[in-house]
Amino acid sequence: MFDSDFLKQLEYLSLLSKRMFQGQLLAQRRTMQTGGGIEFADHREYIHGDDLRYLDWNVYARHGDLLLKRFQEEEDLHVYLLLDASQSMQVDETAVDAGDPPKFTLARQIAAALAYIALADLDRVSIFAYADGVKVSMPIVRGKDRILSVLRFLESLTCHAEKTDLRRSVGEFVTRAPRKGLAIVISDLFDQDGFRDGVDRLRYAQFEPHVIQIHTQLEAEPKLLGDVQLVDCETGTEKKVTVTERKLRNYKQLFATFLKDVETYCRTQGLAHTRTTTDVPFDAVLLKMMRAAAVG
Amino acid sequence: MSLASPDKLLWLLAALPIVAFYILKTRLRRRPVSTLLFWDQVFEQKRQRSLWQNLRHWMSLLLQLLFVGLVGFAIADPLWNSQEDKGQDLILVVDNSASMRAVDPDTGQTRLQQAIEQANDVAGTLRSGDNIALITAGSEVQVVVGMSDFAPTVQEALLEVKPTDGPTKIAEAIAAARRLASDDDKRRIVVFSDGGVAAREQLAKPADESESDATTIDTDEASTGLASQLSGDDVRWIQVGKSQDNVAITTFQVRRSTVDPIGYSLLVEVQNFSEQTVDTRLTLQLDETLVDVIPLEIEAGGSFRKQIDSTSSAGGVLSGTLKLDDALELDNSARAILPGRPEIPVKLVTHEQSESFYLNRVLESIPLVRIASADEAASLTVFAGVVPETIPDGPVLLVDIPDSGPELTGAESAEDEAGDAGVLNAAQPAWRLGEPIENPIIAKQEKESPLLRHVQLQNVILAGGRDLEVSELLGAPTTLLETASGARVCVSVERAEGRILLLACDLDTSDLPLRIAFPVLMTNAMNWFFRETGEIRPALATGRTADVPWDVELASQQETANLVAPSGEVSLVTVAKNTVKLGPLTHVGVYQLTASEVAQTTADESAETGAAGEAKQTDAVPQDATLFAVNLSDANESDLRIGELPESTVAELPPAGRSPWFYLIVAACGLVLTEWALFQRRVVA
Repeated sequence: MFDSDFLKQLEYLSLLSKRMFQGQLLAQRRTMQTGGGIEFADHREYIHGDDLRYLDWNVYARHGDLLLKRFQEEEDLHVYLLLDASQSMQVDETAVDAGDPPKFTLARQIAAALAYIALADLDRVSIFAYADGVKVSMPIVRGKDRILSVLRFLESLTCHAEKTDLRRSVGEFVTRAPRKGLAIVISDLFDQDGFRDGVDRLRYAQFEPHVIQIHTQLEAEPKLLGDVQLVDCETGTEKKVTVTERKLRNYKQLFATFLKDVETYCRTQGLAHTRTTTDVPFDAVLLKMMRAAAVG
Repeated sequence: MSLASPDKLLWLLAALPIVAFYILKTRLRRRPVSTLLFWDQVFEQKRQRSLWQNLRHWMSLLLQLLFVGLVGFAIADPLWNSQEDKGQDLILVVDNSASMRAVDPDTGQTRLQQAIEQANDVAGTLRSGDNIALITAGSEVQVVVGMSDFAPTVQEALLEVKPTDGPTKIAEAIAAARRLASDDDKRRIVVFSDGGVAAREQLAKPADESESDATTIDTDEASTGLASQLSGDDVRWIQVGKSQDNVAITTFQVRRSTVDPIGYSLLVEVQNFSEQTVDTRLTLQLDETLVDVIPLEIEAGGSFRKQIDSTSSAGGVLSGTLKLDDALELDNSARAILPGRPEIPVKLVTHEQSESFYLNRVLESIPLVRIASADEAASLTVFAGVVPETIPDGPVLLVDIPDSGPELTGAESAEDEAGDAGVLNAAQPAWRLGEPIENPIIAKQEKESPLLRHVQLQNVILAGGRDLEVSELLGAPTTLLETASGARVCVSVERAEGRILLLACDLDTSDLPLRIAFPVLMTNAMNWFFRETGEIRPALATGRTADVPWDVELASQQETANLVAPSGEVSLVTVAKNTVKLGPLTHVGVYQLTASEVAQTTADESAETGAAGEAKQTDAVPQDATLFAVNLSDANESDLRIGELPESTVAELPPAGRSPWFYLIVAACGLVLTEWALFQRRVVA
């Protein structure tokens, strides 16, 4: 999955991201804490005992006011990748949708790319794979040289045949995350209520959620007709139905409404949201994200 | 209703696997999906219709079972009540008359082809126990296939039915069909025709109406009877073809003029059987020579009728052709035979002292007559002022008779006479000339004789007139002119060797030669001698029998002659009493009658030669053949407009028209379609 070409693409994306993000997205985030940085932030009244090295002598010479210079402190960003590892990400529809990778593969490729960019920007990266809860996580890593361990971790991930529950998974994540940071959720979001609760909880815990929604083309426009037995790959629930053209139209309408709902929700809450299908290569998805960030 | 093959109901067991499959149902395709979230919502909306969903499956099962049931019953071959216990005698009457040659411009098929197709379909409905027969009703009614229980024979025979040029003879065909199948209950006659029958107006009326008409109108009795014969409970009409416009020559007859030896009169009638005025041309030809071209403008439903007079000594086939491209080509041309008028060489024997000037001039003035030289063979011998020693064979005209006739020494005749009369008369003159009469005024004239046609000689003084007492040994005498004193001055004699006309009159002194009657009398005499009178040699009509006079056979004593049809086919006909009895002639054209042997032209050969067949056949037939023309000459056949037949006549055939299994199969097919629609509704709707 992660071959040398993939790594080359990651490097390219990393370079590209530096030019496009210009520090807005991931690394080199300025914290609101003032301290030992080098960039001037503002002044404050001198209080006895303050370090005289930071006194603004120019102001004192001109106005006679004792003002202390404050500097913005630079801080490492924590990037958390919440990867949906439920069975719905791996559903075997390849028979029909030949050629396109499963959602889980694309999700891991996107996660790897984001991790690489973050590590290249000296940010800290941690990955959480979840289904009905956090199933496996990778501790925080830092430095570009850790990318291989990240890739190994991603490669070792498998899907779990449990029902997706982002709310519960976020609950577990919040308690385990050492610091606040950017929380990127990569999922098909086939958990409408849970998804909202989960994201809301991330926001409540002062994480900055970013939603990457993946679905297959067949999920949007299924090619089913006639009498079929539908099997939910996560729960194993079966449903015998006769799919007619009209019902197929209803389905497509419902799915489109679902996608629109997600988009509306993210926009309303001011969350970054990216939607893609499995037939789009991961680098194209990344570029799309970068462009969206540059415009924003 | 009963079943012809109840054992075949076993096929109904095919319903069992259907029910079994319905119970077992087929294993549905399993399709794993990421989530049922949306499918749940989709089918949540339709839950209220689940009852109908279930019902639809039941409906589907019921339809399938019904389908199997219908097919099973169809195989068991059910019978209508009318078919139970008895077969039917189905008689197909196919009209192959001339009007059935009309080509439908839409399909390019003739009416006969359409009729044959439909008859073929009907023949296909024959079932075991039924009998079928095929009768054609064209020029002559022909039982093509007698009662048979093997429908393919009829179907094969149908393909061989050829159109004729004759009139429709449906009534006779129906009569023949009724004779063929005597059982009224079983008999079903199906007529395939365009309805071009003589009583078509009567036929178009409902049966009860025509009956009431029959009681009130006596004059229509014959046609009403024909109409009732055409319809009936056992007769069903299947009308073929569509109304079409047509123009036809309905009358075409020629005759030699009674007064002009080389003149002739042609009576022609052209009728327009359409709803619009027609402009056309009628071209008249005598053999290959153009006689006349007459422009015609005939209003809708009107006709053109005219007598055309012309002259020609040569005989031949006079043909009229309409320059028109209409539905029926057959009646656009007609033919008639114009008898030829050959030259008559006459040997004139006169007295040494008298040149018989008047007689010479009169004979020369008669067309076709030529005074022959002494050593030349002549058709007629004229003695003027001379009595021959022996009366020559052949026609003889004696004028200005100076003496009694030569002695007749016929021993047999004398002995016969003696036997009858009991008196021995060894010899007697052919005629005895009476004493001269002072004023021989003609008082009595034979009116019936063709010799005195248009001749008026009563009260005329016939100078030199003397009584002629013709001996019966000479022949059968007929007195033509008689004076007031009873002297027979002009006598015609019928003789086996040739006719004789005796006229005791001195032409040089009498005023007879100065009268118009004289050349007319001489002309009549020529016609009489050579039997060439102004009588018509009528063009015959197809489909009718005719007696054709045929003098040639008088000498040959043959009892049969060869009739050569226009197609080259040769058939034998009977000759009796100088007439030939001809059966219904099936095709138009020029027929030839000959006593000589004629090479038979087979149907194949004639088909190959096509239009050239007639010319070829003409070459093969001897020159002495008697020609006679046959035309359609039938307004009913030429009228291609089709009337609406009443429902009672054209009503759907009794149920046997289609076997019940046909309807069962149709119903089963309908069910298959319904089932398919239901399935499509489930999947596509």
